[in-house]
Formats: sequence, structure tokens, C-alpha cells
Amino acid sequence: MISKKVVLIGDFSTGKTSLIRRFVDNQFSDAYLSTIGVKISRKNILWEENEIQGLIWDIEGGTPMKAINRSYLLGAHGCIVVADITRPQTLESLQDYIEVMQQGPSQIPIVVALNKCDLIEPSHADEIAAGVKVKQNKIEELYLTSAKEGSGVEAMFELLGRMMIGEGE
Amino acid sequence: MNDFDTLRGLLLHQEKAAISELEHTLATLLKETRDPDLIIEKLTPLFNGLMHHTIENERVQFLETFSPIISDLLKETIQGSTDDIAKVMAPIMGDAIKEQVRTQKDTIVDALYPVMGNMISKYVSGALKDTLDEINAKVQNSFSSTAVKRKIKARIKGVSESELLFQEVHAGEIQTLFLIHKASGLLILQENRNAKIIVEADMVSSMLSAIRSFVNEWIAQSDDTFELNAIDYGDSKIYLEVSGCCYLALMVRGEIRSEMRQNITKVLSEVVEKYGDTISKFNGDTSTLPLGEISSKMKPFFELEDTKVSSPSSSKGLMIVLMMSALLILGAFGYTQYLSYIEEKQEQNILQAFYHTPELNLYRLSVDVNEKEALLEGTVPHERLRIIAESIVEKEEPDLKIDNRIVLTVPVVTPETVYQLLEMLTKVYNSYNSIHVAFNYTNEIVTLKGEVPNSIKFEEMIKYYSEIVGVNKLIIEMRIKPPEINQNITYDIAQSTLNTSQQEIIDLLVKNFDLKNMSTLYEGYRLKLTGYADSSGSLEKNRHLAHKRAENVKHYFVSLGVNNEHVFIDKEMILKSDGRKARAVKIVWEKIDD
Repeated sequence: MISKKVVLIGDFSTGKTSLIRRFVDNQFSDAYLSTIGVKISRKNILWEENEIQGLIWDIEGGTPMKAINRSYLLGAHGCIVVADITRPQTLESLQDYIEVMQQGPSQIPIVVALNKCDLIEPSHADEIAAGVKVKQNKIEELYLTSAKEGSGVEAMFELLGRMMIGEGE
Repeated sequence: MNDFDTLRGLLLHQEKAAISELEHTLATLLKETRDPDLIIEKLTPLFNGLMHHTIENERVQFLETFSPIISDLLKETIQGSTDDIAKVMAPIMGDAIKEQVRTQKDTIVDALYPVMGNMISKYVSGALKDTLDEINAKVQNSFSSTAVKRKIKARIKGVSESELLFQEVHAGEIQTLFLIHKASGLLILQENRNAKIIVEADMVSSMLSAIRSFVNEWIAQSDDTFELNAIDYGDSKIYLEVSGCCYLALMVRGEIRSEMRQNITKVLSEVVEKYGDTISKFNGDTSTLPLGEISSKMKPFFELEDTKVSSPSSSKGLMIVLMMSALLILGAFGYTQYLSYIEEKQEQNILQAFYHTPELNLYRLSVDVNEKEALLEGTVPHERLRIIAESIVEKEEPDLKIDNRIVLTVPVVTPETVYQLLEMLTKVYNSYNSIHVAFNYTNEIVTLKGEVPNSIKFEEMIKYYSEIVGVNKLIIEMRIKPPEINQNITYDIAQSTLNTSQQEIIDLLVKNFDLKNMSTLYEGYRLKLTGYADSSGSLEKNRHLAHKRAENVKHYFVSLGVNNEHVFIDKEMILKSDGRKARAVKIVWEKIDD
């Protein structure tokens, strides 16, 4: 079985832990428990007849005062950058996180998740998504996700899985 | 010339000139193109422009043309002048390595890793050996049943006791081994004792990697990166052995021996040397790695001998035997210790006596007391000193037999040895409070200066100094100065006779200073008594009182045997005050002028 390291990064309280929880446990809770350091989850990612073992590193959210610990990002095979669609500040931070990932020795697939889209109108969400897509041209794909409702989560991980294996280039 | 030629000449006049000019130019040109030096001269200024132009416009082709040659060029140059190249490269090397360490640390680590381990363990084991020796020495002195057991065990196994000390509780057993890709934290290989597979091995290896990163970020103080070496939990330990591209995590119950630790380092460096490149490119697909080969290298870790503590029943019998023999040994040991303590005390005693004998003090003598016999060894210059040494031993420790092996030597006499002996003797004498003496040694003449308390000592010192081998002439500038008396006898009002306590003071003086032999001891000195009275009452009466006091003191001195001639009564003193000090007799030394 092939194993891959996936890292989730983004500003604090954007829903990283919730996305993972939705994906791994298929559960969601409104309670906010700030992640300290890193939490690692394991889930096999399946599509068609393929299966890979995902080691998912949930990294504590960055704040203006504290940048994330780059050593956690070493050796990652795939990356999901998460922003809270209702907080523009987190959208602006996307650029910084993507740059950090691109500084690594090899270029790995990066997917952007605009999370909490259950909190706004779909048309508005599409607008924001379009705006982000224009600015970021180095990412593989952008997803509108809702960890609460579950939309977009599975598809996102699946796509990332494919990218990490090298399919769907 | 015919008409045709003249016509030709006239018609082609201009052309002729042109032609001859052309001929001239052509000749010059031909000459130039055949002259290599000239060609070079002409082309040189253009050369740079030519190169520049080529590099700018036809870079790729240029490179293609030149690159095959470059490596040959370098080879030639390096072979020819290694030292020069080295000198040129040397200043850059430091920075180059620094840069490499900064950006591609792991590559450097992997390159050096196989060598570093051996380098460091060689150095450390050398340094550690001293520590181990120290520990061993300390351990020798402890004495408990566990200690005895351990000592015996160590002897049987042929291992140093301190190593056994390290594994006192249980011997360490490696339960599980993980080989983990350093950057991503993904598991490469898992090995288990007893084929008990850890279910969430991938999670464990990822978490371990996260912990390593976490600790480094929060605990490392400077830009240095350090490694987590081990994680303790209960009676188990997770050891981490880290290289550039990967690391080993070993779950061990108990402690592993230092030599096992070294083996682990060695095996890891072998794995890194051989498979380092492949491992660093690991992308999560274990089929890309030669797991079988790597696994076979790790298997030996699980073949550790099982040194469990033996079952209770057999150890009990052993304990009893050990206790008995321990007691016996203890008894014998204790007795011999006591004996050697006694002997040591005797030796010390004798050596002290030697030290306090100034003549002997100069010469190195040794005493060894064994089984009631004192063995004397050393060298002295006179037979007389041999005998003195023996007699001292007889006096200090009468019930010892004496084996006198002190030899006579003719000492080598140099100014240095003489000086040393003079120094030593002077030091001994100066250790007495009442003696202050200094010497000067030039041109084989010794001059002695200082103060000596009495004539006996005076004669003695002259004798000993002159006896020092190599002293040919001795000039004495010493003088006898009796030790201070500073004694006052104080009286009550109107008292002039001596009471018992006052008499005791005088008794002590006579005894301590041996005043009966004053004439010989303190040649040139006498006692001076001054009587004091206070001013209360008539002057005449007080004078009389003071004089009487001094007289009575003199009388008493004489009655004790002090020579009358050597006690002199000075003019009495009447003091204005009326305290006790004003009613006294003062006793001091006075030099008798010839």
C-alpha cells in the first residue's frame, strides 16, 4: 500500500480540523477546540480501484503573531490550504501559505478549500471563488467545502489523492 | 618602340599607374598574410570582441564546444599544481560547506554520517574509559550483598563491574524497530520480536516525526538543531537514532548497553551508505525500496541474549553461601585493616620524630613497619646519623624490632645541594616561635644572622650548620635574645609581701625559662625588676613600698635557685594613677654591658 503525507494549513479557525474529522470520521461538531502543534490522522483514500494510505497532518492555524512550523511541512506529498469563506482576512493569507509550500524542494499538488460555505449564499460563494482563482494560478483546484454539511470534502481528498499518485495531470 | 606600343602607352597611362599601385598593394597583402606574427598582431584586438559576440549569440554551441574540454583542462591543471589549486580553493571551502549545510543539510549529514559515528565513538570511548576506571575504583570500595554478588558476576563474565551496574534491573530487550523516512515521517520498515506487529505503525511513525519537529521548534534555543534521543515511559524506552535521510525508532524494555547502542549506529550508517539515495527519494511506495536487504541488516538486533534475573529458590541458597563467605572475608579484611592502621600510626610517629630532629630532617628517610619490625631506609652522610635514627626508633616504639638499612653515601656536593640543605635546616629552625634566623651563602661562605633564644640553641645551630657537607666557612652574626617575659606581679593596696598566687607566677617563670641556669643559657643578660607604687599617700612611704616589693620578688627568685648576681633591682617608679597597674613589680630582660 502506498502511503502519502498530506498537510492541511491555513489561518486559525478556518475549519481544518473539522474537514479532517468529516473526512475520517464523517462527523462534525460546532465546538471549537484549537489545535496545538499537530494532530495526525490516518485514512485510506479510495477512487475507482485505487487505494492509498493518507497520513493527514492537521497543523495548528497560523496567526499574525506566529507563523507555522515549517518542519511539519517537510516531505509532504500533497497540501490543502484552507480559508474561511466568511473571513476575507483568511482569503488573503492563502497567498502566503501557497508561497511557503512552493518554497519546498519539489512541487507538490496544492488544493485550496474555501470552507464554511454553508454560511453564505451559493452565488456569493461562486463570486469569491472566482476572485481567488484569478489570483492563484499555481494551484491544482479550488473547492467550495462545508465540513458541517459534508459538501466538497470527499471530492477534494479524492482529487488530491489522484494528483499525488500522478494521475489526472 | 613601335607605334603600337607608344599608342598602348599613351592610352593606358592612367591604368598603368593604377595597375602598378595594385601590384604594390597586392605584394604587401601577400606578404602580410604569410607573416604569422603580423596576423596575430592584427587579430588580437578583435579577439575579445569575437568571443563576446559568439557567447552572446551562439551561447549553446559555444558551451557545447567548450564543455568537453573544461573537465580535461581542470584535470591537467589540478594534476600539475595541486598545492596552488588547494590554496585558491581553501578560502572558499569553508563558505561553501557552510552554505551547503544551510540549504542541504541532510546531504552533508548523510555524507559524513558513516564517518562521524566512528570518529566520535573512538574519541568518546577514550575519554569514557577514564570515567569508567574511576567508577570501577569507587565501586571496588562499596560492600553490600548486591555489590558482592555483582562483583562475583563480573569476574565470572569477564566484564567490568560498572557495565553490569548499568544493567542492574533488567537487561534491555528490543521489542520493535521502525525505520522512518525523516522528511515525511512515513514508515519504511517495521521489525518485531515475537512477530507481534504493531497495528497503527504508520500513525506511530508519523507522530514520532511530529514530536521531533515539535520539540525542536519549541525547545531549541538557537539556530542549532538538536535531535530527540530517547523517550522514556515506564520501564520502556523509545530510542531514536537519526541520520540525514531517515531514522530508527527502537522500542526497548529496560536499558540497552552502550555497545548495543554503538552497534545500532553502525548498522544505520551502513544502511544509509548503501541505500541513502533511494531512501531519501522515498515517496510512500515501499515497493521501490529493497526492504528485504535492509530488513536482514536489522534482524541481529533481536538476537540479544536473555539475561533475566534467576529464579528465587536457587538464589536463596546462593545468598546464604555468599553471606557466610562475605562475613569471613569481612572478618579477615577488618583484622588486616586494623593491623595496617596500627602499623601506619607507628610509622607516622617515627617519621614525626625524625622531622623534629634537625640533623636528620635534611635527609630523606623512610620507615616501613611490618609485623612488628621497622625497616629503616634512606641515605645519610655520617655513620653517626644512622645511629641517631636507630635510637629515635628505639625511643618512640620500643617494642619494634629494627632492621636498619640506612646507607651511607658520599653526597654530591654542589652549590645547589648545599643551598638546599641550608634552606631546609633554616626552615626547620624558623618553625620555632622563638628563633628567627636567615642565612647568606656566597663563595662557599655561609653567614648566619638572626636571633636565638638561648646559648644552648645557639651552640647547637652552629654545630649543625657547620656540619652540612660543603660548608667550609661559617660566619656567625646571630645573637642570643631571650624570649620576652612581659610578666608583671600586681599587688593590693599597701601589700608588699608575696602571696601564693604571686609566688606561683614566679615559680612558672623560673621553670619555663630555666632561670637557674640563666648564666649559661642567657649569657650577657640579667633580669631587671622595677617596683611600682601609686601616688596615694606620701612619696617617701610609696617609694619605700615599691622598693620593698621589688626586694621581696628578688628574694623569692634567689630562694628558688636563681643567681643573685643576675637579678637587678632598678629604681622604683611612682605612678600618678591608683589602679592595680600602679601597684606592681615589672620583670624584664636586660643586656649586661661589658
